[in-house]
Amino acid sequence: MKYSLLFEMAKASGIDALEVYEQTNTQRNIQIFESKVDTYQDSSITGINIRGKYNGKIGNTFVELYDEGMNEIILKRIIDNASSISSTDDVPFLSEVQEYQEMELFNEELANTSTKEIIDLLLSLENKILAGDPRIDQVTDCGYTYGDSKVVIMNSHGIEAERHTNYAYILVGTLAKENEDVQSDYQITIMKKKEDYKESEMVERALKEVLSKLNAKSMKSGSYKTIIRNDAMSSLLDVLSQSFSADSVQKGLSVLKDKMEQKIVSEKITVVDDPFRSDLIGSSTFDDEGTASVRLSMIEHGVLKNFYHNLKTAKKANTTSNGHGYRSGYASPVSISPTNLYIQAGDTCFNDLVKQCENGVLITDVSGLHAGFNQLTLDFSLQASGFVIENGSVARPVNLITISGNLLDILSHVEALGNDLKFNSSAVGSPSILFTAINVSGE
Amino acid sequence: MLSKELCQKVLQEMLTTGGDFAEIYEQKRDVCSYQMINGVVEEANSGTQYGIGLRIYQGFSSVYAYTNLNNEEDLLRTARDLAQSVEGVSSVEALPLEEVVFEDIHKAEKRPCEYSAKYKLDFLHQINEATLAYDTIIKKAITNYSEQEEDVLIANSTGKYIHDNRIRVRIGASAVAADETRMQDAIAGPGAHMGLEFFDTIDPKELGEHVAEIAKTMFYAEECPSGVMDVVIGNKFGGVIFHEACGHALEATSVAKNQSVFANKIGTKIAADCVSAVDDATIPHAWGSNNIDDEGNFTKRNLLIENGILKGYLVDQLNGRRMNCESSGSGRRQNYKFEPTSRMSNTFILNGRDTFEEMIANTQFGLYAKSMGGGSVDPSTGDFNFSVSEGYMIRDGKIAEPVRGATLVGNGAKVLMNIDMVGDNLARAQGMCGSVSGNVPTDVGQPVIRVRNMTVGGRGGAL
Repeated sequence: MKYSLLFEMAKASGIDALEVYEQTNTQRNIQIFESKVDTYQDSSITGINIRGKYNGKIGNTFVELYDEGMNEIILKRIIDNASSISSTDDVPFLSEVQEYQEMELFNEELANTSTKEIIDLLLSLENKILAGDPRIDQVTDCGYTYGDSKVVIMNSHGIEAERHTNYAYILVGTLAKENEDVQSDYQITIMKKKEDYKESEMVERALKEVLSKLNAKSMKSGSYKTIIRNDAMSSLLDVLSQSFSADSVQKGLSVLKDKMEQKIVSEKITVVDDPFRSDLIGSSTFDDEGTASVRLSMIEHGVLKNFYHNLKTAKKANTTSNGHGYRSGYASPVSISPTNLYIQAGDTCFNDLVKQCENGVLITDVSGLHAGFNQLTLDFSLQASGFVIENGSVARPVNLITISGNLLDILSHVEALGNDLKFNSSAVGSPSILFTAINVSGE
Repeated sequence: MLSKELCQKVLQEMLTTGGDFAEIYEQKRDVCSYQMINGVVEEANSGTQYGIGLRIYQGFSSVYAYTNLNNEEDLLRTARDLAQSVEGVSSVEALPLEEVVFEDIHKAEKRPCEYSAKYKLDFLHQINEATLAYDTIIKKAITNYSEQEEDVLIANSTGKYIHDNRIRVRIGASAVAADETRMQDAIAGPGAHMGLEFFDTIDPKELGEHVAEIAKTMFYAEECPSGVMDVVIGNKFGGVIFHEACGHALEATSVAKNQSVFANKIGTKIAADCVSAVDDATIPHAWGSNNIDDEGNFTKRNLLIENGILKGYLVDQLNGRRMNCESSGSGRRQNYKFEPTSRMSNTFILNGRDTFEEMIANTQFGLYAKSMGGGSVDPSTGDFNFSVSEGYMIRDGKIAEPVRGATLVGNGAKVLMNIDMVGDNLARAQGMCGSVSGNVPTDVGQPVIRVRNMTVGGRGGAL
């Protein structure tokens, strides 16, 4: 076994438990521009993260080019890092053999898609968008990305687990011009299998989204009845996921800290974390510590039901890990991440949401989340764009406005939930939601 | 690092098909970081990144591959496979490699890897303690340390063989004010392209108290109102407005393909007369500085705007082909996994003639945005946003009550024309900038400036 010597040497250096996380990432990316291949990339990297327990503390390190000659420096780093930790939290490694759900997360057809097929697909897509309307000035981006990740986890308690996942996505950026006005838009299609991409659907979506933004103006500042469309709403929900982390809770850095089993939002809201959706890219059968995944209700009819746990936080809270001990790549230590996180759909169709809103605003895009959304307090103030809703219909486009509020507060004032659940590229999903009132700043 | 002989072979292999330029980027980076919360070290991490990026140009296009494997057989195979993805027959030879040496103006005095964890943690403790001790409303002090040392080697088919060593150190200080009902935080993130002598440039007690003071002020502040108002934007991180409103749209990344609002505008007026701005990667030890960019070109001070007139763009080699101009030494990438493209380094508005006091006295009603969070921009339309992390209302020419939670939005082309006062207290602050070639360290900066009629989005309701 590749790491046998490392495990032996670890034991001899006083490291009581050792765990190796090996990840091989393959990425292919092809972009076309003006009917030619613009960039092409196809590469594979293997990185390993090693953590060990020394004097009761955990030391972490990672390398990208491993050979046995590195064992000494790896073990020295683990000991140095473990010796710097003063936290008294115990971090157990997995020792009970788990049973993992059966789920196919690797699609052979996707893996075997040829370069020529991809280029032909992109050329046709770019062409059809350009030809779709004279106001389309440019297809600024037209690219296909394929990602493939193989993870192997093994530890000194005899645990060994392996998973292989892949996905692809197609991203187009378009620029539309009418008189002096310029508008841009990005659309993405995520694929777990080839059939997830339908050219006519993507062309229609790309054209509709960018053209509908033309001649957008600002609007009067005020408090409005607001529909946040499913795609924009997913971005907001994404930020909430860190508040569900037991680690944030235990460090006193989550607003949900003392709210378990309490009503925190409207009873119309149910939030689920489901690792077993093989059609979605956040799916997994075990986390990066080897703990089996489970489906969780995070919020059930407005009541907080669960936090995300890993082995460390579970031990501290005197409970069992619910399989959310993930790394954001081999260079990172184990922390906490969701799998597929979403607000369950309601039963109002989109047009009825608009009718119900009657007069207000429809938000279709938000940006500046990394800066304008406070992860700690869930306060937000974000650049936004969308449409005015007048007399129960979608009317003129608006842009360069901001929406602001507090996420838990707006989720406590929900008028209706759409039936149009949609997932974004971070495996976070939401239906469109009609809110009682949101602050808009414009003119 | 890879020998000249091996590089020569690899470059030659890359040009066996229709490519007209080939480049090798080898990078080894050692990193180390610590996180302390209320005096307790919660995290200690270290590791090594290592890899090689291979790039071939053909006209305006490129192909790219990266690998960890640096032995001759595997590297030549990677180069060969990459060349296969380029059509055509060989027409260009790789010129003989000649090493370029230069003086390192960002050399570290105290190499971080030669110092103990205790040395670094002691410094964190001082910041952390000062934060917690500031006021009982402060419940959490989170202090982070990160260091990186990298060696990069760039070799290309024009015969360039050049190596650089870069050491960076950064501190993240944050304070959380809280009671039973709510929380408010504040952060500061000073850093530099230098070694642990960086600690001598900071007073840890002052830094710790600084973030605690802002957290406390903002905890008790009102919500910022919404509406259109005049905004006085502070120096240092206030420079994020220029970074978003203008900087990105001057990168060849979008200019070269006519995807920027400022494309084809050299020599035209794009900002108010009082605005002049530069991007300067040569400032010794500045966080965004480098001796050479990530394509091996020496960095420069690039004049972007002079008295409102657009003077230049930030250009990388490949995009420079589309624009028919030379690289401005601005080709950067996060690491070997990314193709380089034109990026900012240390970007700032130059000093003007107004003073801060004049600016406030001259403002009947508005917002004083003393410190910022980050922001983002769409260079093709110029629409941008950035968040205010410490704000005060201005009423009748005086600084009034503190306000929190505002995001300012605008259109770059319009906002630059609405700057009507530029102060004399230029200062810079550190950040990380994200774009297609990944995250790179950059400085933003400016003197205090005034912008008329900006859209302010606060949670405090309409004006």
